[in-house]
Amino acid sequence: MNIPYPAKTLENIWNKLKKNILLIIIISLGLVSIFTFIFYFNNGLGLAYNDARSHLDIGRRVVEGLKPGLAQIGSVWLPLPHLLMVPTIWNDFFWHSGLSGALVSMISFVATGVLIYLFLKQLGVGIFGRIFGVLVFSLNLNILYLQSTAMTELLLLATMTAGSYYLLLWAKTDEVLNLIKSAFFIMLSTLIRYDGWFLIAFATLLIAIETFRKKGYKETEGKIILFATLGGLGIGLWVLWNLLIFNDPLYFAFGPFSAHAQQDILESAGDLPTKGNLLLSIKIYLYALVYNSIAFNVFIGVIGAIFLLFDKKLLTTVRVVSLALIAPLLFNVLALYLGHSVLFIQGISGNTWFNARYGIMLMPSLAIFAGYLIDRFKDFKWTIFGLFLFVAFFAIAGGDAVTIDDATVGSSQKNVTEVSGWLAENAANKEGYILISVASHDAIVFSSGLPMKRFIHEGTGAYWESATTAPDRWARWIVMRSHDDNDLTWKAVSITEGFDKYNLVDSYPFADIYELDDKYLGELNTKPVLGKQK
Amino acid sequence: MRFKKLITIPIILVVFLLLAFIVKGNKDVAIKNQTEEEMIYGVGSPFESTGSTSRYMLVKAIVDDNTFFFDDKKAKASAPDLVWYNGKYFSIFTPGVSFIAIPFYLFGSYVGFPQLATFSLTIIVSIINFLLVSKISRKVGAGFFTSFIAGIIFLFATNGLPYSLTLTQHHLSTLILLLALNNVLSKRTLTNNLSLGILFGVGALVDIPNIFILLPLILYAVFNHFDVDNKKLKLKINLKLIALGIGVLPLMVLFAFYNHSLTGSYFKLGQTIGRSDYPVNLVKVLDRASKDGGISLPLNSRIQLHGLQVSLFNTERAIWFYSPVILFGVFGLYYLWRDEEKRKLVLLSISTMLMIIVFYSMHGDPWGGWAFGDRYMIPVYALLTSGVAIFIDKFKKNIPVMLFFLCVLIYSLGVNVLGAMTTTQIPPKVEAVALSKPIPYTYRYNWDLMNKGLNSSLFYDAYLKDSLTSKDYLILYTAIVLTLITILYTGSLIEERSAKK
Repeated sequence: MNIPYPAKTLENIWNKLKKNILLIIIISLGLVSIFTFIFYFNNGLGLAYNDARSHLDIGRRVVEGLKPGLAQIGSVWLPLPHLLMVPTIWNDFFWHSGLSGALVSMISFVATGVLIYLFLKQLGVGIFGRIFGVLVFSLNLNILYLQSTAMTELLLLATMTAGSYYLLLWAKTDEVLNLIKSAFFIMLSTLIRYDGWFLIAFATLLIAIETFRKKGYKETEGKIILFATLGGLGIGLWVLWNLLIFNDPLYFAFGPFSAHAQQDILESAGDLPTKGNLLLSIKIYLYALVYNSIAFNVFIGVIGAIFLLFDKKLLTTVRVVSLALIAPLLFNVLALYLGHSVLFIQGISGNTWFNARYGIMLMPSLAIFAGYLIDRFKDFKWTIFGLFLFVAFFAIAGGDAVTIDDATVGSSQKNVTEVSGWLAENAANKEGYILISVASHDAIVFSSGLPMKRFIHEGTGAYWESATTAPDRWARWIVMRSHDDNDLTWKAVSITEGFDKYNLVDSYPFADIYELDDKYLGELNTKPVLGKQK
Repeated sequence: MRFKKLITIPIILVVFLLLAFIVKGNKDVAIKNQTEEEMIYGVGSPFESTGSTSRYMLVKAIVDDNTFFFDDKKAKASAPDLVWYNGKYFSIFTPGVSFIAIPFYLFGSYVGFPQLATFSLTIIVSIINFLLVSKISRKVGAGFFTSFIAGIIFLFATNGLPYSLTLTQHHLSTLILLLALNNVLSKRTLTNNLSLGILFGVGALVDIPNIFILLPLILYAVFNHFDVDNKKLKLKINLKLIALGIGVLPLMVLFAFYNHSLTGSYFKLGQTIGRSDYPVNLVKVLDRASKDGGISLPLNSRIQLHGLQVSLFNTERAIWFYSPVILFGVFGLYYLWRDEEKRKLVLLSISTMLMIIVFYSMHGDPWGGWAFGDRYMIPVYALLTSGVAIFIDKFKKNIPVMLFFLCVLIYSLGVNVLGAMTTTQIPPKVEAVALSKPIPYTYRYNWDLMNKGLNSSLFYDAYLKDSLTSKDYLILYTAIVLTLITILYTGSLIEERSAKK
């Protein structure tokens, strides 16, 4: 049977599509992003991560509370994700829906997809391979979930991928402007997570190797200074910030709320098995990588990486700088080995999940390598594509998302609905402040739905100092983990005389609630009398 | 050419005899196995695995009782490869193997050896597979004798050997796959399409995973019906495509009828209901029914890494541990790939192999339960063996390479003959160590059994038990197979020399 077809028309359509392919990708990814956000918003998983709620609260505290201001950015967690929430988080819906943070992730998701496409284009990969790379990234359920949340992974992936992309452009064109752009995006990544700090160092090393190989010492010195200065600017600013706000330039590293402090507690409890154990660190991270990226994608990604690195048709410089794509692997293994990071994989290191989402950090890299592979082995493109779709179907239909497991059953989740529900029901329509440590109970603050200005916490300056000295004059309710000195509220309040005036309302899994006895309400401050603080 | 045709028959006869010498049975109980009342189920028996027993019981139920359902005796023998539904028991397996075995059972009943006759189905199919592997090897350019070596390696140096003595789906699935491969490489005629459709339908009846495993071949065949004529600006569709559907349809109707008989629904598969013990644990069944509601997927991407570890790396089932000689096929396929004419076949073979590996890596039970080697990979071994033939042809005069190949071959032969002569029932490690008396979870278990004197071969038990130890028989048998291979290898050298002249 012969069916006539309008060849010219089809050719025109195809040419138009090719011309506007980036726009099509942006629109498609945008639609997927919006749909996925709505899906996870409706089923409540968008706010399942304890950390997501904390990020949103930090952003909110900058614009609303007893002591709003940039100082609420705090330490330990790097500032950029919270700063990017500021334009929208003043709106209660944006805050409590998580959209303020998710919007940043969603835009980052689209941007990363575009960057993968562009990266592959620069490698000379055909259109099929480029689209395949985008699909490998965007059909990953862990990516789709994280991009619907106020977590920082997608923003970090976008900036790191952008940094690597411009590094690739520099390798191809030797234009300084590309080097500057690369440094800029990597600098942004240094203000998102500490993975970016490793990337700036690693990228500097790659630039040094290649420039020295091609142009000698002088040129290398100049390039490194240019790149490292701009790229390291964020690090410098962060250290300065810690000095100015906390009087300690390394407060973020060694302060009481730092990862170091957290890891110390874990180590003393014997829960840091990867420290000093390289093989275990590699094993655990590889498991996290596979669980996040799906084994088949890791398999084709690794093969693609090997072929890319040995492809003599690509410039040596291009191949060397492409190594920046594996920086997250090196960083995470190193961090586990040095004990700066903790990662639990259920069944491998304990019976729960914790920080399993760290394994998602190589997803854009694997997508790029996979796109390269399918282009390199054109004869097998339909086989690889078909198998990918087959695996992706079962992964998505089966809900295989370790990041969701981590958020719902792992140690990253906190079901604080009992405490927050009590507050919402009993404190919403009454005057008075709630004394609480956000370092321990930010999730309760978020989930209660109450405005930030109802809470006295560590960042409220004089209010905190006053309330922890004389709680009965400032706090109608106190939320804290009784008999736990790690809870700063308990540590301060339990030794005060005023604490005797409180009745224990109830005990819940994560915190207890105390309420000031009614006969002392007359002496209670319920207004923000301390005014604007410096 | 005439000589080659003549020599084929004795080769087949020798292969048949070798298989006959290893058929499972015990001269005292061989007769007993023929009657349901006296069937023996122990280690080394034909009914050591409920994978065979459940299918055999279905055959008996159809022929003897005119039903698909099991009475209590059959149910008890088949558990846990059993389903309880609406007060009745039936086999958890798809009925294809049992349907095909019916004429064999009928013949066997007539001559008084129904079990032996029914199980001979798999032996005959394995011999056909041996011939098909040889044929495909010749098709890709292997020599006449080398292609038979490939067939023998597939049949005797992989776990295709122990499973040729069972009533399971592996050899039938392999047969369907090899026939389908041969089919799609041919012209798309009405007959070929009809045959392909029938193969697909039979494949689904034999084992559900065949639907996915055959997918690359089916899709390839379907796309071959479309062509774009850029000069005339026409899209050509070959309407013979419809024969594919016609071929599948009657078998799907049969499958639907079978489902309806069991479950009351044409589309509800008995396999999806879940296993049952005998007698049925009603609490478990009710609990399962209360949880039912959503669609449960047969494959899980989360376990893919683990599945790949089991199939490819762990000593529990991995190819390198049970049949490393097959890995030479990878080199052979690489050489074939360099030949543009053979590229299509290599591409289809690799696509199918990858489909099988990916599919079973996401399967809930990558070990295949209690099994010998990775039984799900038997079709992969069949596809790889044509590569082995090419490898031998390329390197047959390279003595160090051939010596190394020989060592690996002897190892692979020894391991799989050991498996065939003892048992296919090796537990996964997690189960083996948890037993009240732990047993090894590799072929070390088979070796321990052989050291205790076990040999499941009916021929050995009937005629050689008093003159040879079990181990001696293993060595003798392996030596005979090796001799056959050596003769064929010599033939290939002579063949090459004659060709040069």
